[in-house]
Amino acid sequence: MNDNEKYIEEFVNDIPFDAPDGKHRDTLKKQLLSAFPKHRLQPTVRTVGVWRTIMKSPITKLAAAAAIIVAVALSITVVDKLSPAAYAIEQTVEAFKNVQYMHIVRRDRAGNIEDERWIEIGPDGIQARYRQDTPERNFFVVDDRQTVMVHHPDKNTVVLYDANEKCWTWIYAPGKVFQELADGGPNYYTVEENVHYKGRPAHHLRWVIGEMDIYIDPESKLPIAFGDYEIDYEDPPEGTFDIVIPDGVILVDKRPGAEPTPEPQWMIEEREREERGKVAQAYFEDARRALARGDYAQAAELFSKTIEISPGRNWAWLWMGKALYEAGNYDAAIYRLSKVIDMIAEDGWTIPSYHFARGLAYQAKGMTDMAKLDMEKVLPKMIVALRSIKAARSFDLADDPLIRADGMREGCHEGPTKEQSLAMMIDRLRIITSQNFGYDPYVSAEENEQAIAAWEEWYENSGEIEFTPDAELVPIPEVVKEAGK
Amino acid sequence: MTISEAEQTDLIQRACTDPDAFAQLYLLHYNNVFNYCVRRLFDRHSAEDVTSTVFFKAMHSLSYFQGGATDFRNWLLRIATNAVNDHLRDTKRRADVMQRVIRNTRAESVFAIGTDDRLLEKKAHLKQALLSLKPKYQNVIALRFFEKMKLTEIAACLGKNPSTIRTWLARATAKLRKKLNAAVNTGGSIL
Repeated sequence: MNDNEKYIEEFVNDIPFDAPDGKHRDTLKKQLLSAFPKHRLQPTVRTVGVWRTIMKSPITKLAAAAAIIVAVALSITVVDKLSPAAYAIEQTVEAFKNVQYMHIVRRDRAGNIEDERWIEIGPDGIQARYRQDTPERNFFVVDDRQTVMVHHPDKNTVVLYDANEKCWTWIYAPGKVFQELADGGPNYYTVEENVHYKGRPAHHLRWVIGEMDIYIDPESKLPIAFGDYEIDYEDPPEGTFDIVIPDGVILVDKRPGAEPTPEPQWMIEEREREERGKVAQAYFEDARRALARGDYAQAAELFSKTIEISPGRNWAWLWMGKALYEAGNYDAAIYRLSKVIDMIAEDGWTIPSYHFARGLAYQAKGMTDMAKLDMEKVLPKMIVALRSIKAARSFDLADDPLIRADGMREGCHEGPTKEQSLAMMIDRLRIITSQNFGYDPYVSAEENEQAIAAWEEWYENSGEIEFTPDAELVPIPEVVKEAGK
Repeated sequence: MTISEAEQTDLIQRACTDPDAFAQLYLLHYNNVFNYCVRRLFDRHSAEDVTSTVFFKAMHSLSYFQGGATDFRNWLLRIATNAVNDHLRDTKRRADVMQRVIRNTRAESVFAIGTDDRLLEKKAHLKQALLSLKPKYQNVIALRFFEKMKLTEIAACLGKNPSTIRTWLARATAKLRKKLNAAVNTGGSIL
């Protein structure tokens, strides 16, 4: 035992931990026994005595032997059919083709429903009719594909919209989501088969980059849980998608051709917020162009104006942080980047490139320990991204604000090619690890496969962060840049 | 309850099809699994949740298990390791665990009559430091210092090469010691 081990052994030696609780042990035992797989129960009737009696006759022995051979042959066939086939995400994509309804529920720790939705899926796999009941936010929506009704009970108001102009959704095309996961490439997601979810047999599908857990029913291949939401596929109760206006509410009809009705004050304020949102979008787009052309001071100022109007705009925070970093204002950069990391964490999300950006800012400030913590968090995602351009997306977007995203169109481009994205990811890895496995974007894919495999092996065996600002960088093939306006 | 290795191996085989045998097996291992989980998660409720998960998984997968009593213990700990890692991997829960752990630990020192405050402080430092390590490092630390497993046993449990475990353990203990030293010397958060 070395010094470190002795230190830790001594440290943990006298630390008190909670003892097992007999009540939980007994309750769990009952739950387990009631869920014991019935198909595995041992039959209680024993037939050995009868078998011995029958086998006295030679003719019976021959017949019995033949019966045994047939039975074994049948059992092999049956076992093959009963053996669970390996799960593939394509099976879920296929299974969604037959799904007409989804019922999605999110509950609090006490089991009370916080959010409940019904989705009708059209033959094209896209949401048709929709219902959402979110009592915790006083928000109820029914969309029957012609009219959308939004009920705000706290404001005693119902607003009607044309379904072509307003749409609420949970996941607009669920089957396509799984197709995108399947297309993400190796390590974009992981699968652990034959686990269980709250006592039910399930396969565990983990979307690595989005840190999302999805549980798949092994029989139907359909998801039964997606993050905090649980899903079933039963037919909705009659009238689920009917638009029923409660008595006594203030009705505001905003459909084309409807009789104009006076808007309550809160709707006027909401409309004014939307107008201000358009102003924020204009600031946001100008800020992105300023950042792209290297005008960091103006970019920071314009992102600040964006955030003042739309404080929830996470990419504005991120790019403001990057503008401040590039301008050498590391404290301010760290503050903005920490703010946005905390903001999205409250919704249960992690965006790896945000941690990468903050890690660089910490390192520039000389706070190496803090920098390493961020990089250790993001390093596994970077390794995954070596084989998945989808996984690299947030990094590419963070480094190039002119990639078409977040509503911006003018002056944008579609983003890097697969080769460009991979070269940039290799550069990021070199800067934070000091490692170099000889990647060259101008040689064959087979040669570069060795470099990628070398990164994966290095990560598995070491994965140490070591900042190397002067690392030799890979030339980015055919860089695509458009001048900011 | 203690039984011989041979008796336990027989019990494992019968537990595939006999609920009473499974119940005996469960009672034999409940404390071990709970103790492992509570030392990884530092929270009773989370440990009980994950312990439930472990035994449900074990019950449904028992027909795939092959081996004797020692193999079974390793198999169960492997299920527990994966279940704990899954639990901690949830970003929201991880933040909640660390915050709740720190608050609960400090609260314990107010209500625990006769408890050494120094020990509770140490526990808080250990929790913060351990949960900030990579999952694979948390795994080897827990199996080495809480389950008192040898390197080869840890390797068998996690399905890894012993030399890999040796490397992980060296790195894990170095990192953990550094974090514990920092926490003890500064008396505050090390994150």
